[in-house]
Amino acid sequence: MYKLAYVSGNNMDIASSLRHTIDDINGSGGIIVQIVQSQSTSSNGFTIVTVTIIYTVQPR
Amino acid sequence: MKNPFSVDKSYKIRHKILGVLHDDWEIHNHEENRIVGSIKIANETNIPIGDIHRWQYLLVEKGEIVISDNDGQSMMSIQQVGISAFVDKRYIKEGIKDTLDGVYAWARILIPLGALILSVINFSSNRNLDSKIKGLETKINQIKK
Repeated sequence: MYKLAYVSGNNMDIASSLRHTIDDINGSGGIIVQIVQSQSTSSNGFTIVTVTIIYTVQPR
Repeated sequence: MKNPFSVDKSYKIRHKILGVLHDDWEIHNHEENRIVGSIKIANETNIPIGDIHRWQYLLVEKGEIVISDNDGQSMMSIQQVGISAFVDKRYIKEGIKDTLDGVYAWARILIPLGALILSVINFSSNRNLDSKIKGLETKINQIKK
């Protein structure tokens, strides 16, 4: 069964949250299937990045 | 319809979200990239979780927070821009400014409209007065004769 996680924020700031999310996935025995990144520029010039992670969790 | 005389709730919600994240950052010795769950924010602010999710994207767009969601578990992390926004009460100030702009916009319509109504009333009462004066003049002239 596929599960979804995502991190969204200013491109300079998302590294820590992304790391935390990936650690959570790994910690729960999840296997990352695909990572998708999209980005846009906000009205005040920030590059807002959204990283979406699709993963599966093996039944224990 | 939005009440032009009250501060829009989106400003208050954004300020409160930043407030919880700021307090957590302060309690934990200014540790960067602290992650706080949306449920904790909802519990501490009494803001419905749906409203938090609705308005959080405006904070993301300004670079004030980073949001993450893992299988429905939503979390937020305050950034330096967000800390400044809270300390500066940016959303409270913006909310008050927006409200005053709304009041000003209504005043621009209502004041000339009120003045127009008053001049119509004045005009009609002056006409009545004119006809009364003319009546009196005629009576005086008749008495003089």
